[in-house]
Amino acid sequence: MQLRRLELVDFRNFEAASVAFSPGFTVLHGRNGAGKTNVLEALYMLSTLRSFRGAKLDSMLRRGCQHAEIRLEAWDPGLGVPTQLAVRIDQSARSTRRSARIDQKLIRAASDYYGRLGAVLFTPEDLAILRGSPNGRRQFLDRVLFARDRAHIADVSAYEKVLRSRNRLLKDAQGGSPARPLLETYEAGLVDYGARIWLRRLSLVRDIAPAFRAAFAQIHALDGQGSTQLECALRYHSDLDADPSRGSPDRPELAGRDARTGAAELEDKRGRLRQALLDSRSRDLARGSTSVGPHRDELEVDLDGERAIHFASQGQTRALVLAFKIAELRQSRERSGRPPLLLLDDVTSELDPRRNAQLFEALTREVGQCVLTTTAPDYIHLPKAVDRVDLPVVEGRIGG
Amino acid sequence: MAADKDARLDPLARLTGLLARLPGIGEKSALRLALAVVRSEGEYVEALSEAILAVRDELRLCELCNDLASATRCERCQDARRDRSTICVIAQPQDRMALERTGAYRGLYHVLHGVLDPLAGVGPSQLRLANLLPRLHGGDEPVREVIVATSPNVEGDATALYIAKLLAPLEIPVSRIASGVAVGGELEYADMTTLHRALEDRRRL
Ligand SMILES: Nc1ncnc2c1ncn2[C@@H]1O[C@H](COP(=O)(O)OP(=O)(O)OP(=O)(O)O)[C@@H](O)[C@H]1O
Ligand SMILES: [Mg+2]
Ligand SMILES: [Zn+2]
Repeated sequence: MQLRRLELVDFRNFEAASVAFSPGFTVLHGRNGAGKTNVLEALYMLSTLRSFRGAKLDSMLRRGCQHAEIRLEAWDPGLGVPTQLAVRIDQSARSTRRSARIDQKLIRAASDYYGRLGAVLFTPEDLAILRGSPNGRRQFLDRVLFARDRAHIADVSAYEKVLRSRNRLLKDAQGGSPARPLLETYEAGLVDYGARIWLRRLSLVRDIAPAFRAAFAQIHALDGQGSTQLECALRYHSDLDADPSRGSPDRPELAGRDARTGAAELEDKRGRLRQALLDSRSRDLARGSTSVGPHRDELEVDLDGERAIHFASQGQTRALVLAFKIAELRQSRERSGRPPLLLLDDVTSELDPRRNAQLFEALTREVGQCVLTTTAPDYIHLPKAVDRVDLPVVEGRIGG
Repeated sequence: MAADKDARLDPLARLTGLLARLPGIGEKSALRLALAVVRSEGEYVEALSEAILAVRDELRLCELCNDLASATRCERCQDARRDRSTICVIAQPQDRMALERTGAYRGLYHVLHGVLDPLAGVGPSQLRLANLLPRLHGGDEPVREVIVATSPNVEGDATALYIAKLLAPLEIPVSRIASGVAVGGELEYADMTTLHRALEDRRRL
């Protein structure tokens, strides 16, 4: 999908604004609070129908407005025709809803909409992921999965609800024991949703790991430290994996997408989860919550054989997160046959000019189109050959 | 207590306030309905108030299936042409109405008046489950299949699974209507063809 023009109506601080995109890099620049991130949020809405800030639909309506619209004119290279994507937000007394249209046609099932505009987002907050809570890293994986497998959203929210239900039963039991069939009912739900979540996260990490290692080596070399090459590794860890080598990304024979292997592996995960829930019942009753399952798993990043959380420097942390994003880009391109749209929010603010030039050189090799924000366009050093359009964002207006 | 009558709202505000307590009706629609009652002609108001009293005084729950009925047993439980060997378990009377409109189902029902949801304080004892088991082994004609037609969401799934576990010792096949209904959707809003197909594609629990 080649972005041409974006129109915003009563979205955030824009009453009526439009952006004409470069076929390469579009640089949105302006002072703090001008609305640059809001434009990326609108593009991300077109891609995923959600805000990457986790914002409620209401907060995206321009203050005092009941309706907002995001419209994108694009070129569909597959069909060889122009195409239009539109998302509306409508507020009524009872609720606020969003609706999506492709070429004016209302799309009823969200699953028919997703995947039209593939996008990879990088925000400064992503840098906190490596050192933050395990929950943040699980959510980080889930966000990537939402974009490639829509069933994942439904599974994650169902899993969370079933988990809270089982925890409530455990708490309400107060020393006694809740009725077996009732507990089993919720455990069956945890097994169903949980095994799918577990397997999807695991295959994502397996798919991405080789590209991640390559990208890290590249960025690290760019940083001028390539002489002492550090090995890095990405792993999805579950306490229920009996044999840790099974989950290893270094086993290419396991990365195959053979449907029969997938079904067998899912059955294996279901079995492990079922057994673990059964085994932990009395412990769980005592603590009043569920101690096993994908809500306790970890995305582990190793640097030179040590856990990066404890070991990596500021710069290495940034390189690891960037490597993950680049791996995600490559992976998305391989899956769909086209480079996804890259959205970069304010990434360069902490990079020195040389590093940032090197970063963009690496990125231009990976992406087709990129929309990025910065407070000053001088911070963005792109290779000369790249198509580039600089647009000022000032008081609800974009471009001259 | 003597002052109560004086503290009462004026009739229009009172009717509006009472209507607004109904589910799905906001203040604005309540006022619109109340004004329509004010402007109505002929016997409408008498008929309406009679009908409201009648649903309270004459409707009860069917002793067999818990569905709304105007006698001890509902129309379906009394209907000799219906297939008594199949029971379809549903959450609410309106689900029965949706299934009846498809015309694809000729068995009997069992209405739970709710779904399992520990987070909302609804456990098995809050559902009308107690009279389901006696129907399965006590009846004049043996029940050969139980279909659970709860909505395909977390609460509906848990309810279906719980019933399947409860009935497992009886060795009566329990099936669940298939996911022709949009995932996370409500049965009541499913359109007829989807529901028809879902009923045909039900799967064993
Ligand atoms: N619903 C809304 N209605 C009107 N204005 C809004 C709404 N939501 C956010 N804003 C305004 O949008 C601005 C924030 O925009 P945004 O986050 O895009 O800024 P930015 O250009 O990315 O700034 P920075 O450089 O600091 O990241 C704020 O001025 C805020 O008041
Ligand atoms: Mg910003
Ligand atoms: Zn009845």
